[in-house]
Amino acid sequence: MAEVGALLAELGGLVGVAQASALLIGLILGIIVGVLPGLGPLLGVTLAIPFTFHMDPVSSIALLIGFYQGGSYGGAVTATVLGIPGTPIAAATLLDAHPMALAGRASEAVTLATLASWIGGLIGGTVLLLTAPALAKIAVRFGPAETFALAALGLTAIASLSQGSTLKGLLSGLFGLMCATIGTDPFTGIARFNFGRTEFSGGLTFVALLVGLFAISEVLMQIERTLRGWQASGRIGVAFSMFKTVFTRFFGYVRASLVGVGIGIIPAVGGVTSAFLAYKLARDFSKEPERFGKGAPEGVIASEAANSATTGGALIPMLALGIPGDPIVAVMMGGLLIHGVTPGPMLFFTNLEVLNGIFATFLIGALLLLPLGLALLPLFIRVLRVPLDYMLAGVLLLAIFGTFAVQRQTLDLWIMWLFGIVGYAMRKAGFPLAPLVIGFVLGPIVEVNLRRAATLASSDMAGYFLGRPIALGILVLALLALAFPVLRALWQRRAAAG
Amino acid sequence: MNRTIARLGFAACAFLAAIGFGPAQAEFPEKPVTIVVPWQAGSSPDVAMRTLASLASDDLGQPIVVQNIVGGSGSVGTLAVRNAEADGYTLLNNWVAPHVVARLFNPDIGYNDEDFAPLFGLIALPFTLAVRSDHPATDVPSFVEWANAQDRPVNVGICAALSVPRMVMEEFLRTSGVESYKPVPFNGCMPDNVKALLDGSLDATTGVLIAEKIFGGAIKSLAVLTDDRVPFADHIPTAKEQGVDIGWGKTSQGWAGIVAPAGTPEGALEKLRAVLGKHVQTPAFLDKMTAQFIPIEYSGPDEFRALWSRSAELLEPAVQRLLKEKKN
Repeated sequence: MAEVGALLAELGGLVGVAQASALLIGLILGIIVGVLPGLGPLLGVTLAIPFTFHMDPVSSIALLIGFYQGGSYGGAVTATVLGIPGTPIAAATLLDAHPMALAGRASEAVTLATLASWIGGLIGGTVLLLTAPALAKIAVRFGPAETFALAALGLTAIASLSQGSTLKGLLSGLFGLMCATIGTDPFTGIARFNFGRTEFSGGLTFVALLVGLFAISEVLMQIERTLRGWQASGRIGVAFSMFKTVFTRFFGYVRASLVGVGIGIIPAVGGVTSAFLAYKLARDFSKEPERFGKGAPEGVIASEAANSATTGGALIPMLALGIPGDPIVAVMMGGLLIHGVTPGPMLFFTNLEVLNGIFATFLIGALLLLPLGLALLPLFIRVLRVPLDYMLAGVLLLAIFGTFAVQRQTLDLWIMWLFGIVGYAMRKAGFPLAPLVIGFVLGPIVEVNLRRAATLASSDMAGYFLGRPIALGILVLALLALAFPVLRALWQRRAAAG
Repeated sequence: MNRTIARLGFAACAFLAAIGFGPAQAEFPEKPVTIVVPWQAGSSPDVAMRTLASLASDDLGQPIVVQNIVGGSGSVGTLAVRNAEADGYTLLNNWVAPHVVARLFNPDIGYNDEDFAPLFGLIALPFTLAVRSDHPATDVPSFVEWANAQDRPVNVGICAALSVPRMVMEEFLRTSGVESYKPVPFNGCMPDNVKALLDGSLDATTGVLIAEKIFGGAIKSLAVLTDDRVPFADHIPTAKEQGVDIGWGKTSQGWAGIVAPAGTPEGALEKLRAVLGKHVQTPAFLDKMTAQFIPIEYSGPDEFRALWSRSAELLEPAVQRLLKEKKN
């Protein structure tokens, strides 16, 4: 226990005024982005990235963590008040929070959601702090073959497990891999696919690609819809009576949080699934399952604790293995790479301070969520009254300034617009964007490690991989992830026929 | 009457001064000066330039801003400065990798020596031969003996496929008498190649001095591949002391300095050389660099320019050999 105390004191020492303010700003803006219907933590993190360029690594990750935690929570407010999820991960929260609001218990629902997010975040952060270093200790012994296999697993999992068509997911991931080959061959250092221009030998600028793909395409999608502000009715405040649920429903909070962390660790599954799974578990364990969907507080607790805890879980494979499991974490990994901090087991040697700074800011952010969420509740509800067209104009402005500010190269703006249109077209055609980003981030890792393994193996590639059971096992998992949707479809067809 | 003329004259002068034709032309610099670093923020070059910028800005009378233009092994940032206005307000932290090596591999890269005016040479980063700390070899001769006793080629990490450290390492291995080795490329001299030492993929690697500090007792450096020991790491003997002399002199190091686009007015160059050159030799700067394991070797503009052509001459045959290997 004394050791834990010393560790916490050490972690606290890593967070100075700059880091704390970055975290606070990230949290507040993150909640606002989460509250706004249609805009979620991914967009928040994307727009924040350019501003992190001139910060120290810990401040910049603190800002991104703030956006991640705040954005994951903010959607719950919208779900309660308006009955539409502010972000997709609040979809399960909506089921009971909105009925509670309709029954005049909006304050209770929002307070519960905040408490649940708070506990989920704290449990997620604790698991992150305890698990990531242990996992990294194992991963440090992984060679190029194992690293390649892990990256391949991350890639196939996101392509085939994300929502929608598996084929479209795979194509999107493949496109991301192809985009990653533009620039300089990471193995030989020779320029390739650079359209004969040295300007392109740096590859497609990550920020430009990202902002185009998510921010510009989101603006294009949103302006198709009717532009209007939403009217939130009734006075909503803090219901302090809900605080006792932390004790009376203790196991509900903890169970959902653990589900959230566990799901978070698995690549590609993410907050939506973890929230629904925790919700379903809570209903299965309930003595009165019929109350669910009609304003059961347990439902709100389960969904919010789970999706909040997922953020902590999702950071584990990124930090310990260097493999991002969801697009938000991939963007955060890109943000670290910009600072020359390469996530993965070596982080524990090369950038221990940055790493501990990440742990510290995550836990502090999780702690702050409760006071901040409750104290600024009136502000967040007011945000819902701002007409969406103003918001979109702001997003557009931030996107352009942010992208240009990074390197002051107009080429980056062209890349941004191009990928804005690409992203819009892909969304319209039902292609998921997440695999593209994961492919773009994992592309160099897959390529370099496979080619390095090939160099070490000389001519006997099969023998090299067969002599490495861990790599082989992970590759089998990757194949299973790929085969899973096919097997599921076959099974469903048989079930339907039989 | 006279007073009116005087007033008109004064107004005219003020107007001309304001639009820049006035006799009282202001001295360089009138606006912030940018130093482009072709590597990531947080990298050693970036730290060096930001330290210099923070120390020298007051003296220069204008802020010095560091801008990172990354990619293409440094060639994107290098080209951006070559194409920038030659007015003294855009400078480049030039490195041997993009400045010389990348151009030798790709003559169409869009810049050459004549496109840049040197301020001074600044950094000389030596490379090391590093092994895991439990490796049986204790020095260069015992490493060579160990390597030649293996029934397979030894796996040696090289920082990048087409790079100065690779050419230096291969020249060293050939000169030292290692009969069979396999060069394995990485993306930089840290940390992935060190990880490969730890996970057993590599027998040895080309390293940098700071790696030994970061990885504590996990790795050991058998030799530094330059002519002289490094002052702040003088426990590591040179390869030359241990009987292996590749004779490349300063070209065996990853060197860097500061340049301006060719055609920059001599007055601006002089001012920059004087102010920046003074600050890179102050203890405030040198201590910070020692703490970061960045070896500083100041050289004047002429000496620095001579190093460019000497490096190109020495590296050209190695580049041609690699290009030929690649085709086969």
